[in-house]
Amino acid sequence: MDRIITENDLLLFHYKEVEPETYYHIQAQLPFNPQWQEYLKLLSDVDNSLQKNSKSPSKTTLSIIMEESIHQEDPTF
Amino acid sequence: MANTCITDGVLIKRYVEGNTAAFETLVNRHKDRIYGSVMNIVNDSYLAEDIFQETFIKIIHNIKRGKYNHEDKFLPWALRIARNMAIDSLRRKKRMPTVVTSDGSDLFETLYIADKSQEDIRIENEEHNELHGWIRMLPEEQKEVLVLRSYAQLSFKEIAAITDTNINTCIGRMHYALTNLRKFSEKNSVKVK
Repeated sequence: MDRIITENDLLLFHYKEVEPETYYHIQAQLPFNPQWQEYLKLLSDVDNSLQKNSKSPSKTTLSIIMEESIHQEDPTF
Repeated sequence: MANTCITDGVLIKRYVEGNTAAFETLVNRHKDRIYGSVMNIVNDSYLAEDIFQETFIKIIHNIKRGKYNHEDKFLPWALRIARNMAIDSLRRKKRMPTVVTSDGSDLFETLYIADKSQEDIRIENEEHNELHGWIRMLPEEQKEVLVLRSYAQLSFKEIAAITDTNINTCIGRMHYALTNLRKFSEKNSVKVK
């Protein structure tokens, strides 16, 4: 199969949003293409960086929300 | 464990029927992804807490008023509300005058830093690696798509709906974001780890 793969295709491949035909083509050619590997590594690094910096809301904020959720159960609301 | 089998739509239905535990499950299921997305967009933990709280209060009001009709698409809906609030806050923040100290730094930023312990700062520095620092420097539209796709794990279709654009625009913004990250990396002569 002779086709041009763009970086947008790689982007969609990484997030599994690309069409199956393109997905399998990239998967088969990937071991032989260092540029693709580098691009996909950048995407993985971005994912990891954002996940690693993930934080949770404070307990106080969560209690305020839960209090509000109970309060709003007033049938006259 | 069993709660993971219950869909968001069912939890909302149960909450409407008076089961507040169902709402708590919903909050716990999505809190980190929503808070984390907001935090990654606004880069301010205090602001992120406010936006997160206001988002869920709006969600409660909308559900109770019968305005929720997205079945199991709760997360994209909630993120749309959170995203719009984040964008509004950033716009307001830009309009606010900054109080600068004699060395030219933002007074409130200085106070915030002074309030942290050395340990807090050390941990924060470790956590915020170079790549994350560069992500923070991206133009807002690019960062937004990057965060919603990479962190919140929404599809480009869902991001397009949230940002009132189309799929190609979202893919384009993500592509430019990655191009910029590569440029930052090259400029700093450091390979992205």
